[in-house]
Amino acid sequence: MTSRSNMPARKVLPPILMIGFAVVYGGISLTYPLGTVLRPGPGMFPLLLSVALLGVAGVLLWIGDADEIIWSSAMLRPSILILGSIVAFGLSIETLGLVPAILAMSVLAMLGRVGARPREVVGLTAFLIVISVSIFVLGLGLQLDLMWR
Amino acid sequence: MSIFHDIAQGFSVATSFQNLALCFGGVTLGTIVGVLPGLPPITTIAILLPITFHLDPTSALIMLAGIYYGAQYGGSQTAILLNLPGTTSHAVTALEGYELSKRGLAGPAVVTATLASFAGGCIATLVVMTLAPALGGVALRFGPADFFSLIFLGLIAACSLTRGSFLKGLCMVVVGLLLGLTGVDVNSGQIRFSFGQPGLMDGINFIALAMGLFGVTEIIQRLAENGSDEGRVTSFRLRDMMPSASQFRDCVAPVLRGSAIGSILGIIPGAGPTVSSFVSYVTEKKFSKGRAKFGTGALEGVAGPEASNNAAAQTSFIPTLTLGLPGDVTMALMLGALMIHGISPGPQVMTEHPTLFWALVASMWIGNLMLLFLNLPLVGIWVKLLSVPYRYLYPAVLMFIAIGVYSLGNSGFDVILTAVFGLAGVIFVRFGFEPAPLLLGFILGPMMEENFRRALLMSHGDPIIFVTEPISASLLVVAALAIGGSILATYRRQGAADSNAFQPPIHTGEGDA
Repeated sequence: MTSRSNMPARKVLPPILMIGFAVVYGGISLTYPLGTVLRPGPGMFPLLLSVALLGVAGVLLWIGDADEIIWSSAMLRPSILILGSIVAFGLSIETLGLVPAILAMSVLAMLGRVGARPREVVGLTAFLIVISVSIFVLGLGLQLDLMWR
Repeated sequence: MSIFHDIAQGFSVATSFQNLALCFGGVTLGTIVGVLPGLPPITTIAILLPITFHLDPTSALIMLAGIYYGAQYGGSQTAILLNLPGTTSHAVTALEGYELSKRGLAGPAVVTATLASFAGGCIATLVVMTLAPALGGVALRFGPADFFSLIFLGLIAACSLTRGSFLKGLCMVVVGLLLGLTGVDVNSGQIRFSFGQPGLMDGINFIALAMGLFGVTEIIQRLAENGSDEGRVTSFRLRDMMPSASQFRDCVAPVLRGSAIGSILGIIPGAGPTVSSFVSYVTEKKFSKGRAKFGTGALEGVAGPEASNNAAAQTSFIPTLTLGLPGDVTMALMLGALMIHGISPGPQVMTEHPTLFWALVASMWIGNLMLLFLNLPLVGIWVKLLSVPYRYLYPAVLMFIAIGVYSLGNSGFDVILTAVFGLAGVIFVRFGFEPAPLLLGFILGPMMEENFRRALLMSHGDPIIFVTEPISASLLVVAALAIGGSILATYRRQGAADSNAFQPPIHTGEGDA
């Protein structure tokens, strides 16, 4: 079971994530010209926003966070494989073409679920290739290379 | 006055047999393409746009209206059924709609969305007909300071959407605003926050952001629960798809309020239509009868925002056509399409081309009506999607997302960006940050900065302009009250929270990270 203890880390991590984001974006903003109040430069508005975010996150840290982070090891496998399947599609679509991209994506995505059977993986992947080609390439006429040129 | 003559003429053009047939074709195609997951309204319209190129302007415009409604309708389906919002307003629809779906109430949610959006469209059409000439001027009265404050108010409203704390919503809004600034700054040519990636120089792709934060995140969450088939609908008879009489009655007031909010905000160019569904949602969360159910699936939370969104789409034609200022990206695309057909926006459009203006208003209304009759009987078919076991559904959804995102700009980078936002979404949700306010901030970020700069330029650098301009000042007062009230409420809740902490919907884990 997920622990419901009020470990301090559980309360401070969300505001700290935001503080980190604010510091990074505020720091980058400072590298752009700030301009004047009359004619604000590209750095002014993002800097103000970063300071605001820092303030809000600071208040959140101070009053404490009522929520609890619920993280479980069950998240790990789908996170890695689903995100991996999208990245695989993104990397292969331009160089290898649509069919290999879907092949890679579908297999990785199906493995993201505990208990996927090999027959299902093969069957669904074939099905997805057929419907995507018929809908997007034949039906809607999108310019997608099926295989590498 | 001759305005009634113009209206009648507009309707008679729109209702010719050929034009009705084109509208029907547009609605059907728009729905079929729009209901594919991963293809948001803007992509759907962009894909189908070329079909209208060889038609004459009026017919093209009528078919476009059909496509627009079909695409919007298809988009609300994927938002409700699969938590895949393709626009900011659909992100609001998904808040309650998807919760209803998970409880097996997808049918009533979809039907309510359809009916509410039709009602909103009708009311707004009446508003446009009676008040159009007077309303054209309202938008012109809005100065940069007023726009800034309106956006500010809209963002504050969005923070109150969150099921978690107001402060966390505020964090998400600011993160969204910052992400929205990615890319070339129009004033200085400075490239900001691109982290050296050429793919980020034109800004972050909205669809990659929305699909990642909502769609991908949801898939990972469901798989962590081992892909249970919750929300399986077993009966697809039309009768079981319909909301009950009492649910129907409960939605009347939200629809009316939503239509009023949408009609008014739609007139304000730029931020108005985008903000309207958020404002409507927050209003219903505070005032509707079913407010206790908000967050766990309330039909009122679907009805109000859908009515508001569609009403705003109608009234936003006034600034879109008279000022050339579209309300959102979808409208911007529609405007572009109209310009391809030789219709240039400007203050004269209503006086010099009255038939065209009213034919457009009429065809939008007819498109909406047609959708109602075409699609209510088909609701069962779309909902049947949920009877596909989840283990087969999610790889297909992922594939549609990937191809949809890729086809926007033929960019593999955008697909990878979707994965990045999917990861961010998982972290946000686990940490109790609701992603919907981020989307609104993202859309409004550049607009807010632009008006901030202009207001300061007008006041010679004196920030007091935001409180001396009457419209701006009153909007800021409302926003300040909302902030004060929400922080107070958070503080009170905090006291009672320890025993009753907010729980994201997952309880399967055994270890902790």
